[in-house]
Amino acid sequence: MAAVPAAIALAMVVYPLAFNIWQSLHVERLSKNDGQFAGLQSYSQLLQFGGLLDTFRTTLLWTVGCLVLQSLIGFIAAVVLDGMSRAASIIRALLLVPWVMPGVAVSAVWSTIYDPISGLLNSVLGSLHLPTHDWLGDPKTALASLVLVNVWKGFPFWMLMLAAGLKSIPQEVHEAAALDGAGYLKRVRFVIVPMLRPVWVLTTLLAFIWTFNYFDLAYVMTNGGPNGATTILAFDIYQSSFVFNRFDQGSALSVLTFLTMSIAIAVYFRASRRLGGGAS
Amino acid sequence: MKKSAFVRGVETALVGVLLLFALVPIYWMATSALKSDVELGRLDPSWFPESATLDQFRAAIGQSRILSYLLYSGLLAAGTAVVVVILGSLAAYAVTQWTFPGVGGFLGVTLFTQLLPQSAVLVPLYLAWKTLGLTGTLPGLGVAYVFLFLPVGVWMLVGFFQSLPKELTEAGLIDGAGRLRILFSIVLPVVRPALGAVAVYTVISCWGEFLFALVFLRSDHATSTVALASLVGEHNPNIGPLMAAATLVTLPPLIVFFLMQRQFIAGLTGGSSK
Repeated sequence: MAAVPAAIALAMVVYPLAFNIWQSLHVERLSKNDGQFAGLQSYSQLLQFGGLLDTFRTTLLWTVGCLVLQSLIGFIAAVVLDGMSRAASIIRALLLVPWVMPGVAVSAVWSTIYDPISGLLNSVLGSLHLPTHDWLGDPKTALASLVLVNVWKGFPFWMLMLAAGLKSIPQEVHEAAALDGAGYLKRVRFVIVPMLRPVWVLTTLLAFIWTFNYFDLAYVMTNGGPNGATTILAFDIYQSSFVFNRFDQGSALSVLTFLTMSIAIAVYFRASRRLGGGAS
Repeated sequence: MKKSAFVRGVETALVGVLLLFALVPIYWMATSALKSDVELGRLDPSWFPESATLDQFRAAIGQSRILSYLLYSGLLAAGTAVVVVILGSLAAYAVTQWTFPGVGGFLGVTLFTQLLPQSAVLVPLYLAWKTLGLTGTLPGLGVAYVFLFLPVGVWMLVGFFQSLPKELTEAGLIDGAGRLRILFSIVLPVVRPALGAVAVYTVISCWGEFLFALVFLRSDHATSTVALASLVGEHNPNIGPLMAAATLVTLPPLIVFFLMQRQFIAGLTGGSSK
C-alpha cells in the first residue's frame, strides 16, 4: 500500500533530476538539431548571454530579504500573541489571511496598490507630502517592492511555526528566568530565542525553498522586469522554456536550482545536528 | 510569562500595527470591488466607499468566463484533495502500523519531496505529460497536482498516525479483522481530524496554484488563478472588475480556512515540526 506514494515520491525526485541533467546536456530548442549532444553549451550560454549571475544575485537578494523580514515580523507576532489569551486566536486567524490568499490574487491587489497614478501607496504618500514613485516600474525599487509583498504574504507562516515552538517551552523555564530577575527583553533574548532555534532552523529551510522558487509575484506583477530586475530563477526557468522555447536552458537552470536546494538541505542537516538532533 | 503594564501596552500597540499591515490591502481589495465606477475614477482613492454596489462583480462576471474558471478550480481542488486523502492515508497507515524493510527510506524520500523545488520539476513533468497526451485537460493537471501534493499529505498524516497506540490495531488483529477493515473501521474514524487537515491544506494549495495551471492548460480551460493573472496582465486593467475578480478568487479558500481553521493549523504545525 505504501508502494504507490513511494513510487510517486521516487518519481518526483529521481526522474525530474535525471531528465533535467540529460536535457541540459543536449540541444532542445524546437530546432532541427534537437537531441544532439551539446556538452555544457547551455550552461556556458546562460553565463555568457543569459545573465545567469545576475539572475542568481537577484534570486538570493529576493530570498534573503524575504526570509529576514518575514522571520522578524513573524517572530514579533508570535511572541506578542503568546501572552494574550482569548483574543489571540481570533487575531492570529486574521493575520493568517494574507497567507491563505492565492498568490495571483495577492499580485492583483498589490499591483493596484503600487499603481503610480491611482494606487493606494502613492495616494497615502502624497497626502503625507512625501515623494511618490513608480514602485514597480523603476528597476531600483521593483525587487524591494516585490519583497515587501512577499513579506506581507509570508510572515504569518513564520508566526504559526514559531508560535507552535513557543508553546513547547515549559512554563517552569519562564518562571525560573523570572525568579532570577530577568526582565522581559532578557527573557526574550536568553530564553525564548535559544529555545526556538530548532523550529527557526526548520522554518528557515522550508521558507527558503518556497521563496527561492516562488514564481507568482515575479510573473504577475512585473513579468521579470523592468529590465530583468525581478528575474528570479523560477521565473527564468519558465521564461526560457515556455516563452523562448529553450528547453535545454530551462533544464540547465532547473539543475542549478536542484543544486542550490541540495546545498540548503545539507546546511540544514548540519545545523540541526549541531543543535542536538532536534529535527527530522 | 508575567508581563508588566508597560510591556502589555507595547504589545497591544504592536498587535494593532500588525493587524493594520495584514488587513489594509484586503480592505482595499474588498472596498475597491464595491465602489462605483465614478468613485473609482477619482484621482484620490477614498477610504470608505460612498455606496456599496455590486456593479464591479457584474462587470467581472460579464466580461470574462470567471465563473466557469472558478468552477474548474473548485473541481480540481476537491478532486485532488479526495485522491490525496485516500492514497495518503493508505500510505501513512502502511508506514506507521506495519514494519517492513525500507520504511525509514520511504519517510526520508517523502520528506525530500516536500523540499522539492516545483519550478525545477516543471519542465520534465510538462514534457512527460505532453508525451502522454495529458496536457490541456483538467484531469491531466489533476494528476500532476496529486504528484505535487501527495508527498506533503503523507508527511502530515504520518505525524498523526504515529501518535496512535499500536494496541488499537493489534486488538483488531486479534479479533481477526483484516488490515483494510482495521484501517476503515478503527483507524480512520480516530484520525478524522487529521484527514480534514490534509484535505483543507490540499484544497487551499491547489486552489492557489498558478505555475502548473498556467503551463499545463489551454486558455479556454484555465483555472481561476490563470484567468485572474491574465486580467492583471491586460494593458490598463480596469481596477473595479479586477478587484471584484480577485475577491471572487480569494473568497473560497478563505471560507474553507475560517471553517476549518483549527484542523488546518494543527496539520501544518503538527506535520512539519516532526
